[in-house]
Amino acid sequence: MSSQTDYTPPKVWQWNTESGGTWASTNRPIAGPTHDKVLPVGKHPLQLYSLGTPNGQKVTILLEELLAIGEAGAEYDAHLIKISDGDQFSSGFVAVNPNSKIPALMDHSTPTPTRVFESGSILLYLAEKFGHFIPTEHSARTECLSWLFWQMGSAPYLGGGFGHFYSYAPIKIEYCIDRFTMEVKRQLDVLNRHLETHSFMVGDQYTIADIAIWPWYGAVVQNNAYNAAEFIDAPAYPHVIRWAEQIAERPALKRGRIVNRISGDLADQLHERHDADDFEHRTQDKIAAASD
Amino acid sequence: MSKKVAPTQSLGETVEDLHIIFAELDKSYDNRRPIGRSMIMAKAVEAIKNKPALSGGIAAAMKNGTIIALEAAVAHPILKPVIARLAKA
Repeated sequence: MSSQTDYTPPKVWQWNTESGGTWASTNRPIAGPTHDKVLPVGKHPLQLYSLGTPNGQKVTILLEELLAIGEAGAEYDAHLIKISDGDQFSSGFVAVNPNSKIPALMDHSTPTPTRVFESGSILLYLAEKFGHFIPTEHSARTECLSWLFWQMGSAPYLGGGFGHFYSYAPIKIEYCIDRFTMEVKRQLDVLNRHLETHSFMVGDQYTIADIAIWPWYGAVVQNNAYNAAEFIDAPAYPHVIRWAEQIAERPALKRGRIVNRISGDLADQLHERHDADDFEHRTQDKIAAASD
Repeated sequence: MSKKVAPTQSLGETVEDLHIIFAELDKSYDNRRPIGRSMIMAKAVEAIKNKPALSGGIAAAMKNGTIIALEAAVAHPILKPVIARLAKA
């Protein structure tokens, strides 16, 4: 691999499978399936194919919030998609999401099953389907959607930009880290200024905007992403920290954030979720204790 | 065509409303901690914005020079930053 100073782009870029980095073995420049595999289908109307990354957490947090307020139709099976093993390139997964990214949802409660991909689209779909966590009044709804789309446009700078170059890249490149740190700090300042005078993203209502933003920006200020809270000077964003801590106390969020999670404390990993009581009996600490 | 006039209220009513808002928020959040202060700030601004007469009373106090008297009468540590934020909006 070239160092940061001696690289001249060739006339036509070629795929170098030895490019290095944490995700080098799974990333590729072409779409479509790599192998045939049918996705499992559980017993509930909603079938989620996901991994407990921030984008995956958004959906499971909303589903747990919907169940917590009594929406039984939000019962779901959450199947684990191991992106490091290339599960997202199976023919079954690509049929649900041609973009081969988690999360992807199949709703079997509609006359013909409805596929939904892109985490923001899934949040909007579920919020509209059940009529919760999205305001009905037009201007508040518009504010909610503005922040939802803000998150979808902004988080790639946090994850794919800052997170990649600060945490995953095989070499530390100052130019890249500076560029994306600058942008992430600007984004945090946007949130901090807004949350100075709003208890949630849309005034006093907890909505899909909060659910979309928390797993990314809440995680980074609470030092749950990239171990970067000190580097980005998280205490400079006290209103974001307050909002993140306030939301983190919600019981449904505590459940949703551990679904399809395969790293961290064993008690915070529920690899697959098929029933509400899986949180009591199927977390990895319980499974490990039972097999001892 | 009639022109909309922002509703307003007296200094005394404004002080009383702010006392009620801050008393409620102090029950829910610890104003000695940064997190509690941030929450009180956000909730107070939301509550004031939701009461046009109260917003009008504060705006009038800023305009006619009685804001210092208002701050002294309410005597809450978060009021000053709340007013500063409302003035910026």
